[in-house]
Amino acid sequence: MKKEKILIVDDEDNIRTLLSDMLSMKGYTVATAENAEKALQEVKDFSPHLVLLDLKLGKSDGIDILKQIKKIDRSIVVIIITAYGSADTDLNEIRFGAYGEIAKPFDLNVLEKVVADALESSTRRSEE
Amino acid sequence: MPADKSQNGCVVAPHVLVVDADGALKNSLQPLLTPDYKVWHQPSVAALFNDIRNKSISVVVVNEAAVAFDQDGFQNWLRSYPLPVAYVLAIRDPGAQAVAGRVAKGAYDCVDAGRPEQVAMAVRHGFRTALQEHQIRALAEKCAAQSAELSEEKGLKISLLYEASRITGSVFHLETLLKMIIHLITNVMKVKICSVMLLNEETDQLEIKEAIGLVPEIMQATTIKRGQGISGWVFKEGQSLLIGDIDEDGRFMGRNEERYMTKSLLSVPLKIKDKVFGVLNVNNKTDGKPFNEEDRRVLEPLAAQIAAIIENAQLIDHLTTAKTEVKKAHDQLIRSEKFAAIGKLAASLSHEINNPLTSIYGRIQQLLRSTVDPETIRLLSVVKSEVERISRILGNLLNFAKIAKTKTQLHDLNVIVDNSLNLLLPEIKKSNISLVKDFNKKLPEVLIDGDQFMQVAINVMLNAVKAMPKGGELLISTSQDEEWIRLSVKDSGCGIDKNKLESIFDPFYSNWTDGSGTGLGLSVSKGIIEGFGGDIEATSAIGRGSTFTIKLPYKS
Repeated sequence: MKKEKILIVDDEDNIRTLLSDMLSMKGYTVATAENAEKALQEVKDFSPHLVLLDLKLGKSDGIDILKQIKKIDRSIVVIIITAYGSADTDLNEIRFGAYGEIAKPFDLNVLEKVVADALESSTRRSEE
Repeated sequence: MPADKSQNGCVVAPHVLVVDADGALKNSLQPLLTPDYKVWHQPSVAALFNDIRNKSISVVVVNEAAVAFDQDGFQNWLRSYPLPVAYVLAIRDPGAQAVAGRVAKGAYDCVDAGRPEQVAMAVRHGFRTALQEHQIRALAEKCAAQSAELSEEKGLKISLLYEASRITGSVFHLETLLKMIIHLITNVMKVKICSVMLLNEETDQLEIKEAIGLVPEIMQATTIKRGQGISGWVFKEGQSLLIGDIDEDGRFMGRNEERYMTKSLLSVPLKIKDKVFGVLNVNNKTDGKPFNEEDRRVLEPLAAQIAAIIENAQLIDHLTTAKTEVKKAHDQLIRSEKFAAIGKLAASLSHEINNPLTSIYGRIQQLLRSTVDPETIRLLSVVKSEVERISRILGNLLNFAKIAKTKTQLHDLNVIVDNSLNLLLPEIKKSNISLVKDFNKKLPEVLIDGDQFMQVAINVMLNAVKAMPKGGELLISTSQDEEWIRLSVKDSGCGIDKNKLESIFDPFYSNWTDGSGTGLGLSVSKGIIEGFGGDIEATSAIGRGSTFTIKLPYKS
């Protein structure tokens, strides 16, 4: 059993359960949040190692949530999920500390690999 | 009834009559035309003639989508009506043919009944044009009458002047007018040479605009300064000059004598009020006799009339150009508005669809992982690949949306083409295609969005590669002419059927039968290239291959 904790933030119920099913099957401990407020609460309570963050959460500004997560704990790895296609990557996301971006709909293998790589790189960084 | 004329008889606000079953068109036109125009409404054409007369209507708008209208009958009646009236027809579906037919019969314009702003624009232009035509005709008739009084040989001269006024009543293009006038003068005054010289304001010299009896080389080569030679003198002094025998006049430039072969000459200024802007010359009567004072009395009033015609024709030419430009700008605006709307729609559509698609795609992958039954795997794989196809279409739609956000700068086209080619090299090798590059190394830079152009280049080149699955030759060339820079992509593949070739740039049309195309690649490409002011064209022959040519404008 892996000990890494992952927080899934998406306002779409079906996507939260999909990611949650898939990542828990891989052995991660998973929590979910459907809005910005709940997401920030979970960041504090659940202290995830990694957050999968949908930038489009109702009225909230995704970049703003990203900044706030990083403010609470800089070491949390954030991967952005976007429904606007990969070509639309806003460099701001990277500038504000996101690890990377995955476009919907995603290949499960790719997502699993990106998550594993991101966690590994952060572990390495914290060990150095 | 509101007065349409002030005490002095000058028009306050022209009256527009809208014939429309329910008055809806009138109601939408009113705010667009007030206060410049007074707008009236009639539910049918029954009392049309009376209305025009009684209300001094200047522009009639008939909503043909709502009321029956006999254009031939109306046109006939209009011919006998003494005041200028323009009419605009509003129809439901203004296709090129429907519009052209109505305009040819005499309508000022024919526009979409559902677009009041277009109708209003046509009303404004129509009114101005009708007024101008009317003024020109009146002027021509007045000139003709005055000239007739002055002339002693009335029969002959009146025919000339009336003929001239008839021309001015029907044709307005400056060049055509000048040709006809000169032809007429040559015939009726029985002269060998007739020419109209106009001032070129940029060079401040006189140039021959139209002539009969002069070879084109002389017409093109002749430029005359103010005061130089006979035409220059007439232009400078603003007075006509009659020379019975050229050899006895020192003002004629000796070196031109042989080329012009002039013996006798009459030269009159073309002027409006005191402003001279050209010279009308007649040389050598056909009977060999010298010009006399009688000829001068005919030509001088004629010149006044011609001056008025030229001035009006120039005004109308300006107006036509302005009208074309306004229409072009308007069309462009509509296109860019449409584009922005499509962009917004594409972005929100893509977002809305991508979410459920993510769920479907993810669950299919989970199912695929958990099953070992080959048939289930086969069926699920089909579903999976179709979901991927939807996703590709959405991606292309999003690209469509992004065309609106361009970042243009000067680029070397060869570099972009080379970079695009490098990305495709593995595909080219895999398909056993021989690549031939023929680049013009000295291309000037073009103002484009490099990323977007690369997208187009890759798209077109990838299509060429896909057309040659069993190998072939891919020729990529760049070239330049006076106006355009061209990128040409030629393959020796299967070719595209002639009747399909027309549709390949249409959105959602794909010529690939294997489902690999989204039908958006070429339409997006065309949109991008047109955004740079260029164009993309295709030629093809079945079995011999296709050539796609992208042309881009550049400034030298």
